[in-house]
Amino acid sequence: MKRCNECKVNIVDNTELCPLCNAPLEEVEGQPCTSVYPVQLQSTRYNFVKRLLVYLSVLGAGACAIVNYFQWQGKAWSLIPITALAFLWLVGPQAVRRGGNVAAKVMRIIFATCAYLVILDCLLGYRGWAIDYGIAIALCAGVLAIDIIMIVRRESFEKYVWYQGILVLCGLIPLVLFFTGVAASRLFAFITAGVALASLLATFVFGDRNAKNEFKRRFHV
Amino acid sequence: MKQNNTTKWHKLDNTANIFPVVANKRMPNVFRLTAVLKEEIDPVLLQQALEETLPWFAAFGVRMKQGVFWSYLETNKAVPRVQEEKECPCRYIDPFQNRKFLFKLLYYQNRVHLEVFHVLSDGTGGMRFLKAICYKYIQLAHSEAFTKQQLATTYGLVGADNTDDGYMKNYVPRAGANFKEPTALHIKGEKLPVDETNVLSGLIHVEQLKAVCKAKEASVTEYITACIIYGVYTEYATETSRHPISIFIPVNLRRFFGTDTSLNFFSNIMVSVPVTGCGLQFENVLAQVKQQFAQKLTREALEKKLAYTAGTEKKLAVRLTPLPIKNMIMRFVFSRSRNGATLTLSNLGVQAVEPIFEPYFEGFRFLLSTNTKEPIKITAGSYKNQMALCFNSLVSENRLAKAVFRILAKEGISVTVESNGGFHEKM
Repeated sequence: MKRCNECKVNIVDNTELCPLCNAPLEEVEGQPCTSVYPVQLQSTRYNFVKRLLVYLSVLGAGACAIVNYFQWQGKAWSLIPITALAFLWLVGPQAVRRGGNVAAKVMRIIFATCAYLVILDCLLGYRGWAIDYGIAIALCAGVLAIDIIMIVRRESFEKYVWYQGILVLCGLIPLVLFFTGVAASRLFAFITAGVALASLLATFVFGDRNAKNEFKRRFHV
Repeated sequence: MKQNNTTKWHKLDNTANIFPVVANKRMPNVFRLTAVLKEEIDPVLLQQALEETLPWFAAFGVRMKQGVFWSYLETNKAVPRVQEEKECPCRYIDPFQNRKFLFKLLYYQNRVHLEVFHVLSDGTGGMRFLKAICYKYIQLAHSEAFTKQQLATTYGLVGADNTDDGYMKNYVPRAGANFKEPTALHIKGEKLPVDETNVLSGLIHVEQLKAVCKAKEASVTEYITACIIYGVYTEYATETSRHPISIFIPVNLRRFFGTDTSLNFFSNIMVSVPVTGCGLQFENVLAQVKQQFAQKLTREALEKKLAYTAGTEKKLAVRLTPLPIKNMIMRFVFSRSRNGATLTLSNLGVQAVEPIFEPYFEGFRFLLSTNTKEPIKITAGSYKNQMALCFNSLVSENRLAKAVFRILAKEGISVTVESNGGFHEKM
C-alpha cells in the first residue's frame, strides 16, 4: 500500500503517482500493493479487409462516375454500378454478421432486394419488370427460404414464425398491385400469394401452441 | 434443480422501456456489481454456480424481442458463459451478442462481477442474483464446510422469481405534475475513447463516516451528496456559471411500496443547489441537501412521480402506437430531458450476506455506466465497516474524486483508493 500526503489517502494500486492529484507517493510498510483491475486490452480491432473493401468501393464508384461524365452519351449508366455497390454494402454486413435471427436477416435482405430491383428497373428505362415479377420472385424466394430454415431448425421453429408472418403479408402485395393495375402479371401475383398463404397454413397446421403464443407475445399491448 | 422448458415471457417494466431505445456504446445503461471474495475465483466452479442459479431468476435468464407495440423479454434457452475480465467495466451489452443474454458474469482474481443491462433489473435485483451465485459458488468450492442440509439448500432466492411490474402494481392515478428539471451545470473535460473508462473507488471507514454524519445531523447519503455538490462547485463551477449543480439520486421504491420484484423498481429525486458566485459554503450546501431530501423523499412525492411515468404507459393511444414510432418519440423526449442532471449518485445501501457465508466475503462494489451528458457517475454501497464510494468517469482526470476524498480526509475519515489506472494511461 502507498500513501498520498497531499490528499491524505491510502492507495492500493502499485503506482508511483497519486491517481487523484498526481503527487509522488510514500510507501506504507507491511502492506503490499495489489492491482484490482486487469491491464485493459485495446477493444477495437483494426479491420484491414473491411477498410480495403470500403476503399475499393469508393474508388470504383468514383471511377465509374468520372468515366461516365467524360464519356457522356446521354445516359447516367454509372448509377447502375454505384447503386449495386450501395446494395451490396447494405445487405453484405447483414448477411455475414454473427448472431441475430437468421430469418430476420433473410427478411431484411429480401426487402433490400425488392427496393434495389425497382431502382434498377428505373435506371434501365423502366419497363415494369421489377413490379411485374421481380418483387414477386424475391418475396417467393424469401418465404421459401424461411420455410426451409423452419424445417431444418424445427425444434425452435417459433423463433422464425414472426418473420414468416411478415413476409407472408408482403407476399400479398403483388396480388394487390395486380388488382390495382400497377402490375401486369397475374401468374406471378397468384403464385406468390399462394406460396405465402400455403406456408402460413402449414405453420398453423403442423406447428403447435408455440406458434400462436409467438404471435400473442408479438402483438401484446 | 428447477427446470425451465417452456418459453415464458414478461413485459418490460415501465422504466425499462426507455433503455433499449437509447442504449449505445457511449450510453450503455449497464451497471456492474462486484462481490469481493477472500480467495481466487475458480472459473469452472463459477460457471457451475451460474448454471445452477440462473433458472431460479426469471428476470435474468431472458433475451429481448421486439413486438408490434412493445419490446418484451422471453426465456433464453442458451447457456451463458462466465468470462475473465479483460475490458473496461460497464461496456455496452449488444442484445444480439453474448448468446443474447443481457448480463455478463466476469471474474478477476478474487472478484466476481455481474454486469447487467438496465432493461433487466436494477441494483437491488442484480445484487440478489450476484449474491445467490456467490453463495452457490462458495457451497461448491467449500463443500466440506457445510452440513448436508446446508449444501442441499439454495440460498438467496427471496423474490427471485417475482417479475411483477412494481410501477403498474402500485399505480394510483394522480393529478398531472411537471417533472421537467431545469438545465444543470455539466462537467466538462477531455473525454476518453469509446469503450474506455476511468474507475476510482474510495474505501471509506463506515464508523468514522457515521460519526461525522451524526455530528452534522445528516444521513450518510445526504452528507455524501453535499460533499459531491461542494466538490463539483470547487472544481468545475466558475463565477459565470448560471446553472445549478443537480444530483440525480435513484430511490429504491421497494421499501416505500412493499413490492419485492426482481425487475426495475426505482424512482429518483433531484437535489439541486444553485451556484451563486464564489460564496458557497459547505454547511450551506448540506443544509439545502437535507431540506430537499426531507421534502422529496416521501411516499407521496414518489407516488406522484410513479403516477406520471406509469400513467403514460397506461394510455390506450400510447399502447396502440407501433413500436418504431414509439421508439422515435421516446428518443426525442429523452434527448430533451437529458440536461437536468450534473451527475448521478446511486447508493445501494448496506449490504448483508447470509451469516454462514460471511467468512468468505470481503466486500462489494457498484458501478454505473456513464454517458456524454453525465460523464461522471458515482455509486456507493457498504458492507460491514467499509463503504465503497466509486467514481466511474468518461473524463480523464479525477478532480471531483480528489475534491470529495479530500473533504472526507479533512474530517478525519480514513480513505483507501483503488483505481483501474485510466488516469495514468493518459499520461
